[in-house]
Amino acid sequence: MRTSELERPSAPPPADRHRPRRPGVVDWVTTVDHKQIGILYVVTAFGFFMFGGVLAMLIRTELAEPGLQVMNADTYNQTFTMHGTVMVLLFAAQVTTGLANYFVPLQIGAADVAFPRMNALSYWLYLFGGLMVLSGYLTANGAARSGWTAYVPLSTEKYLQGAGQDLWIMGLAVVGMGGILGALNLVVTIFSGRMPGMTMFRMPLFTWTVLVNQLLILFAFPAITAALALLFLERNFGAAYFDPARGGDPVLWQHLFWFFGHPEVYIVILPAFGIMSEVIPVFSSKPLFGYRAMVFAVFAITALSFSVWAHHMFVTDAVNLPWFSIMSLLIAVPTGIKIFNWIGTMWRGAIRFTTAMLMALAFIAVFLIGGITGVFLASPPIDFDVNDTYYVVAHFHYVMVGGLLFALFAGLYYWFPKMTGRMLSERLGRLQFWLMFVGFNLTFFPQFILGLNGMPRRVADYLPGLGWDALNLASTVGGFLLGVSILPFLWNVYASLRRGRPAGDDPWEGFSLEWATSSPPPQHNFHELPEIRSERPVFDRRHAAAGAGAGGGDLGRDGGAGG
Amino acid sequence: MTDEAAALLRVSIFGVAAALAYWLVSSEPLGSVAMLALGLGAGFAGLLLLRAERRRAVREPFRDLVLRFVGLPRVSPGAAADLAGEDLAVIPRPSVWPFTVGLGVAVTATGLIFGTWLLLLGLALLLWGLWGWAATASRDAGLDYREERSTGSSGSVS
Repeated sequence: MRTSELERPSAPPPADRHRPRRPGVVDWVTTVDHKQIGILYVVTAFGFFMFGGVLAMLIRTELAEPGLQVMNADTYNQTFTMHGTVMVLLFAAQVTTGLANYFVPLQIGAADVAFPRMNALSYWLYLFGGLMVLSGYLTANGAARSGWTAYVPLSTEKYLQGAGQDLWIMGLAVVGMGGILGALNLVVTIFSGRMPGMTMFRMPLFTWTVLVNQLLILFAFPAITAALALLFLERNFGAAYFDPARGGDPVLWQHLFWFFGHPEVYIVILPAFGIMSEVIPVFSSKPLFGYRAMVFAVFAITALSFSVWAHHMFVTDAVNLPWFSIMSLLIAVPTGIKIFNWIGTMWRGAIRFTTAMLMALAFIAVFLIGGITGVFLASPPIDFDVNDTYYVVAHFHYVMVGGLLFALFAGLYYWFPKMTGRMLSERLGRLQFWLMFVGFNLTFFPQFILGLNGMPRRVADYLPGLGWDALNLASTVGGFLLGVSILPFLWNVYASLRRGRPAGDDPWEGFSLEWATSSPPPQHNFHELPEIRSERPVFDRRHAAAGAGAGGGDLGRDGGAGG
Repeated sequence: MTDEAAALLRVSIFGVAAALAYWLVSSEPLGSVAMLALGLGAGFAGLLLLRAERRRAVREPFRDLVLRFVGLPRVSPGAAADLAGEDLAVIPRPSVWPFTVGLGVAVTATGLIFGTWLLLLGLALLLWGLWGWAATASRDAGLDYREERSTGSSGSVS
């Protein structure tokens, strides 16, 4: 294979624009094209999501009623550990990287990312690292079973023997390596690869959130990589970083883990904010309200997210409670700004209730519940009471599952036509939305009550007669409904790829640059680029053309400086 | 000062200030050092960008510099706002080396758990991949990689 010759793409004939050659296996393995790598990320992350979802169903089946029905306690420990690991670290943090890979170069008018081959390496490190984590199931003692937080001393060799835990450690280190390389790539791309006229404050909000998200990765991932290295050395080479009997400190792990772990929440959710900020203006037919305020809110969230890590450690009695409580409460302010601005964007807009918009509206509702319950948890007295109960599980899932999933599907329904050239069925989309919305709330809302009633997390069984039975059953029914809600989406994608309605270049009347090219885009992304005068050049071009005489062009100008 | 440098320097100032404040209230070393590292890391990157700017002889009035730092629009349109317009536009050919290196790293990491034979296999794979990658990059370095890009009749250069 010739790999040395650099390609000099030229515009394909118009007849071929909507019929690209379908890539084979070798093409996928050797690709360095950011769009294909983006698709690889999304599909791989979705595969991990399906696996993590099956584990979630097993957990909910076990907890549907008192008694051990489908697995023993050890298997349960493996199941919730791998569920958390897969969902947080192999799905949530990666699927948005896929969308970022695909759309950031398009949104800034670049032909590719700054380092295309390194981009491919990042993906392969993610895939192989993820497979290493899962391969723990093939070892004699099974997969990791210390929870996705892997607190010491539980995760040390003294308490958990076997290669499964070591594969978890090394697999995540490899995934983290890929994450750091990918973050460098995207930051350099955004800083240095924008087309002429695309200033920082003309970038779409999704690109801004990806930039900040990747900066978070750059500063947070080294902490977890270091922690994983220390744990591996302690487990296998007799080091004593966490063993107090030999001069170590078990709280050190928690500090390092959460210095990564709390920014990780924002690593997951910031691109979701970005997706919201793309979908809501387009389907409200209005420019984003308070663009500049949104950018600074994103930066405020980023900075503050590095100063709140130990609110996960209130009960250790080894952290400064006022500091972490105040900083955690402060982070609600920029988050509130974002929600206010999304509502401001919809205000008096011509709202189109597409599936993407329904998902976006659901995101606001569930994320608000997740955020407000987080404000309660930032108060140490409340945290002491509900720590390690299902209240925390419910809060976490409202933020991470509700927040990410609804935003992700909003993004997928919004961008699928651009990625494939085909429209998804809106009818199936609505069916999926309602199943998801009902299933999600039925699963996780009862868990708030369970937590307040004292049900601890990470237990395989509970006694009857504690008032938990009906709520657990309801949560299980909701969990299965949530699982079933993915089926219409899978069918929708399959049917759309086979015989979906052609999308055209700009089916939604989008605002940002990706809608200025064909669907799917050519290899070098653009045949021509519009003039950039704001963060929504396609909107500007459309309104300048349609309303030159009626003053319609004014709508798209300078609004970005508002707020 | 470009917007990129301003963004990084803002994060840097927050990191250093938060580290100092946290140290004063808690005297807890690990968190203080971690936040200081955040401040110094972002500051280092921001200063590098400032240095690159200076090399390109891009200057702006002090007032504009301050306005940009606090996030307000600049008043002198003549100064460079940021790095926009640096066309990367490198689209290399497909390559098997990223896959090979990724596999090599994963096998090496697995070898640390299961034994020397797997470790050696992983290292061999990793070195082979790195060699192939470096050789490819070395050959590419001599080629003219800039592509022609149409900017449309409306004119995108500003």
